Amino acid sequence: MPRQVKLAGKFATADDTARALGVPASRRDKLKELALTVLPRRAPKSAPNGVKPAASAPGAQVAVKSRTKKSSRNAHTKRRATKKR
Amino acid sequence: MPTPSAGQQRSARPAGDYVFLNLPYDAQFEPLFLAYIAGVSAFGLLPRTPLEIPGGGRRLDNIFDQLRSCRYSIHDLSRVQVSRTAPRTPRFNMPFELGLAVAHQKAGGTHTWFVFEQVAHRLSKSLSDLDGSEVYLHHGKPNGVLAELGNAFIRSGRQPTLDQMRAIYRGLRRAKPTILHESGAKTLFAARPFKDLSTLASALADEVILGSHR
Repeated sequence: MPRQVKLAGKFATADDTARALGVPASRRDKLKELALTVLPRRAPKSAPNGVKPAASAPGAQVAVKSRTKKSSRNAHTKRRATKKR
Repeated sequence: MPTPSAGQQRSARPAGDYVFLNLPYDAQFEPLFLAYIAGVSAFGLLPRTPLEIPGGGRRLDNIFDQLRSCRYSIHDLSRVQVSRTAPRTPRFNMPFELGLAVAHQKAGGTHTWFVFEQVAHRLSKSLSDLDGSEVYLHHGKPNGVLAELGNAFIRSGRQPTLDQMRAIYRGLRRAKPTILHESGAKTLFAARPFKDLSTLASALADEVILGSHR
C-alpha cells in the first residue's frame, strides 16, 4: 500500500457531512453552535519572525508561577521544625 | 498501489470521500475513536462506521455495502488479544472486515485500505499475510493516530497540521458530555452519537482548517 495518498476530492464541510449522514438541519445548526463553544482558545500569536509577544503587550497571556502544593509546604515546615529541635 | 476501478461507479458522488472506520468499540478505545473522527474530518473526509447500520437484515451484507461505498478504509488491529471475560476469545471482526476491503480492492473496486496498529511488529505475527504492507503505528495514543493519519493522507492546499487536528480532537472531547446528554446515549459507540460527533468534527474542521477560527 502507498505510504501517502493524495486527496483530490472536495473538502467535506459540516453541511456535507450532515447531509451524508442524514443529520437533520436543526441538529446540524445546533452542532455548529456547539463547535464554536468547545473550540480551544487560541494562544497569543507569535510574530512572523518567531518572537513571542512581550508579556506586557496588550492581550498577551502572562504565565502565573504555580504555587507549591500545600502538602509539600507542610512537609517542608515539618522538616524545619524537626531540625530546630 | 491500489488498482483503479474498472467498473465501480457511484451514481451520486458525495461531496468529499467516505472513509470506512473499522475500529474496536470499547471504553478504553474511546479516545482513539475520537481521534480517528477528528483526524478524518480534518482532511475533509466523511467518516462511516457499521455503528450507523440499523438492526434487521443481514448485517454482513450491510457492512459490505457500506464498505463498498467508501473510497478509503482504516482498519485498526489494536485488539487482537483474547478478551478477559469468559468465554475468552479474540475479536475477529476487525481482521474480517479488513479481508473484505482487500477483496473489494483486488476485485477492481476503487478502494484504498490502511492498517493501523498499536504495537510494532505484532502484525507480522498476528496476520503475516500482510507482510510487506504498510502499517501505521499509533502506540495507543490519540496523538499517534493523528500523526499517522497525516502520514496516510495528504491534501494539497489544505493539509491540516497536527496542532489543528489536536484542536478538533480536544473540541470533541469537550463536547462529549453534551453529545451524550442530548442523544440520551450511555456510550459514544452508537449511531446517533457517532453522527453527532462526525458533524461536530466537520464543523470544527470548517473553523480550524478552512479558516474562520484564525
